Amino acid sequence: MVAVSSVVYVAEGIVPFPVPGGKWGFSNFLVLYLSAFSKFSDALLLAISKSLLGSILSGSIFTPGFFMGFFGSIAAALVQSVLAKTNLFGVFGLSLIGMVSNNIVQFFVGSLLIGSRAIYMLLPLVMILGTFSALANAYLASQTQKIIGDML
Amino acid sequence: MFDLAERRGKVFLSKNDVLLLLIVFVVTSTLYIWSVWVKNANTSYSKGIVVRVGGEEIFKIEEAGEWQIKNRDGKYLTTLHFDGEKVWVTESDCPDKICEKTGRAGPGGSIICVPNRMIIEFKKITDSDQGVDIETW
Repeated sequence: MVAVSSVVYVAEGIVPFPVPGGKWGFSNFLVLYLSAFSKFSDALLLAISKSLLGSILSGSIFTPGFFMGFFGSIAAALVQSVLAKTNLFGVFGLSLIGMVSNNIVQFFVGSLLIGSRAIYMLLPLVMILGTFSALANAYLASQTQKIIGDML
Repeated sequence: MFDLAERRGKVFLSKNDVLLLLIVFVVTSTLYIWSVWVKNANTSYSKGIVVRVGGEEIFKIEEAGEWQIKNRDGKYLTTLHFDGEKVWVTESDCPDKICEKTGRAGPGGSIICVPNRMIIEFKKITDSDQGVDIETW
């Protein structure tokens, strides 16, 4: 899972995104899968591992962008895992909440690093675009559960 | 379709998900419209440019022209252009080139370079700039 997420992390860096510097965030679908169908510790481990390995492979380790993605991914794993226990939401709802928490934390870290709140002006558009990623990630996570479930 | 997910108590889409989607859509769309309005309502911005690195102001531009921006240590960061109305970047030392891809920014807009922790934005007009010395209310 770490390998798949890391490869997606690097590959999506070359996929065009309407906001400069932004990414679609498809590498988070396995973090969502583990949050929804496994334990928080698994989701957290994957969030940390894929951020580290993906950024090493793309040459962006320990850059400001790395820290934004790293903490965003951890926040998504935490919020998704906690809410998955409540059974209040389906996989799409968890994905949507993960996307929102990921982006809020990323922009918060970014604003601290840049020392300006101007970065928040991009947040609404990134979240609108992120809704499509949330749908795609929810579908991929459900399909992963189906495939792994069939194998067991 | 997602039978195994359902067996584990996880449906793909629940009523709460639809409600949540609606809330996210309304909130983000409203904030997006507001951000575009703020960007276009440029009355609170002057024609001067400010460059900040890590929150610290390192360069001010009042006139049209081309400038090479360096940080406090003298390291080259970016080449900036200002035509008196809009600001844009033509060259940068960072690998992402996000600042170059951002294009031309007008009053209310900004150019952000995350790798260099740099922000280029129009200077806001403060009360002192407007010559307001005292307010009676």
